[in-house]
Amino acid sequence: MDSNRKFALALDLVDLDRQEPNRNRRESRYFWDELFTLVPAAGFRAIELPYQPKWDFGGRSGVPMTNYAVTTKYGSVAGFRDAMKAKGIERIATVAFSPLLFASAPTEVYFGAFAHFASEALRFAAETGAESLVVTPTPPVGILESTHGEASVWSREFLKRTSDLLDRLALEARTTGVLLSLKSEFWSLLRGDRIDTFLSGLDGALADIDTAHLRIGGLEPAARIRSLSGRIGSVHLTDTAFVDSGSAWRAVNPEFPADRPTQVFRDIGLGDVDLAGAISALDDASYRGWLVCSCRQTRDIYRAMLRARAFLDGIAAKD
Amino acid sequence: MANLRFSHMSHWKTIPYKTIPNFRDFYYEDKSNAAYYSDWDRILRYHAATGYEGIEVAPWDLADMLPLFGTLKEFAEFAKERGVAVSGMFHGAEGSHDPAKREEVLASSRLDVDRIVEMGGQHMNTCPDSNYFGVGPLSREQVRYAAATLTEMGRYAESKGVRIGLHNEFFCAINKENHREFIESTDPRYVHYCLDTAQIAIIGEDMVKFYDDYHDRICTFHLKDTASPKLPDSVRYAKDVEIQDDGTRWFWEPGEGVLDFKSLWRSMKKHGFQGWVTVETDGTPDLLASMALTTYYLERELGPIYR
Repeated sequence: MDSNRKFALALDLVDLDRQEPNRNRRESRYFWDELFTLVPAAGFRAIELPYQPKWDFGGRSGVPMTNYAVTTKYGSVAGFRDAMKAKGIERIATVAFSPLLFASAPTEVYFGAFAHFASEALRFAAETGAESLVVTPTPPVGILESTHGEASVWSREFLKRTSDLLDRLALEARTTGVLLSLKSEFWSLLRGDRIDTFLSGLDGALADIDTAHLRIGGLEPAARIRSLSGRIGSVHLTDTAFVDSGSAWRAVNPEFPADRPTQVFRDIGLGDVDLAGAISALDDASYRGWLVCSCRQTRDIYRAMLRARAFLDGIAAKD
Repeated sequence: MANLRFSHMSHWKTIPYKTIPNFRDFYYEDKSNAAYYSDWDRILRYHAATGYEGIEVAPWDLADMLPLFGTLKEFAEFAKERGVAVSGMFHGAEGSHDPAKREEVLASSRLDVDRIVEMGGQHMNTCPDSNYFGVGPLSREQVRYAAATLTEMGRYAESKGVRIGLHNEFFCAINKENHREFIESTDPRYVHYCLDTAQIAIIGEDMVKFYDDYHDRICTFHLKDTASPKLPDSVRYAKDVEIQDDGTRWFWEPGEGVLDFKSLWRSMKKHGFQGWVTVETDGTPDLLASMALTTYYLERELGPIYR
């Protein structure tokens, strides 16, 4: 195993939006305090924290995913960091932010909220000592089209404003020492390698590699890693067996294909993405950042953590 | 014809599918119970199967429901095909005491009344103001202003055939010290009351006495139990108190807490209550189990008293 590899676990494996029995407990602090004990038990000593402004509202500060929530429950960001260290989580490797919550809002509200909360997430990332802030640059095309109409009419201006916003964020990021990384999701206006042109117009932002998103979008992760030749800011190891044979990418809710319900994102090792090939390509590219294991959409948080660990152990054994 | 019709307050989180046509294949993907809790088709069938003729929806769910159904009317028809009517919708009148927010509060209220009309519902159960923390205590003038705002909301609702039922959260700025004054400051022609049995007990009221006192204002119920009535002010007025750090639950299924539902049922019989009773089991670890457990209690324990 390459000793330079460092793995983190993304907390997006805790689905706070969708249904399951006993989901409510996930809004209480005790759930997270126990989870932070179990994450190191699964062999992960670093995490990715999704920064979700939703938890600023409605009195749900038990979910430690905003500055408000963390300071309410732990006194300060430093207090939160200390509490996690006491449980064996040595650091927050990355912070992730998506403007999805505001996707259906009027344009001015959307960009205002995006800029405000992305900046807040950046400051939070800096204060926690995170290496990078991973930003989703656009919500799903389908949601935007349901609000604004056909994308070809408005997408140019929308992307220009997005670029301006991220330019300012990149400038701010440089003053904090946090890397700014942009995620290309298969449902995005910037899906696949469309993000390359966008990134070339930004000073100081790098590309995120999300293996399942790339695969669904039609790109093989290892090839994509090689083509980026070092311009990689963050990596998400994600798995899938989903093939978008229609236009699921353009649906309002692309993570839940309506015509044939399926679990788009599988637990690591249960899909058919060549993750070993991606990791090998990252080694070849001398990537030294975090490899964040994300089991978004898992049906079982604790099995997902252990499945990810088992998969990584298997990779290490083959090295 | 029964006097009581039971509805269930929707505390299902985001339901991502309208239907799952490939149910067996979806199940086999991971053999978990995800397939059982991911589409409206089955969720509504659970309502009908466990004895609920109605569903009360929540406004925060609409953004996810609309892409699935196109319109709220479509949702209501979809539910009706499965034997379930929309009894109403919850609503929050946050900031009703604040003159600067009056137009925003009224516009939001009108929008939700119209949505309820579209779904064929009858009730808009309304939290009357913001949370206590950061707002309370309200001055007497603010309480009266909030009451006037609610009356204005009720005037519009009544004109559309919808009844506003005040629904007092135990952590609301309208609370023990001004709750009755607030009710009596609203116009009874336009503002009614949704008796949330647990919330009212946690505030410090005697649920049965409250019903006896206000039976002519009470148009519907949120029926739930509690094991912690008469919570002290220091708890009710604290920050973000609804969800407790240690997982303590404020709400339980009727019969699993300490409230005297049999006396309430006798009082409802005495006053001849007729209409929707919405069972609400927020905080449960398993909504479907709570629905079935509550139906058993309603049928076997309370049904012989009044139904």
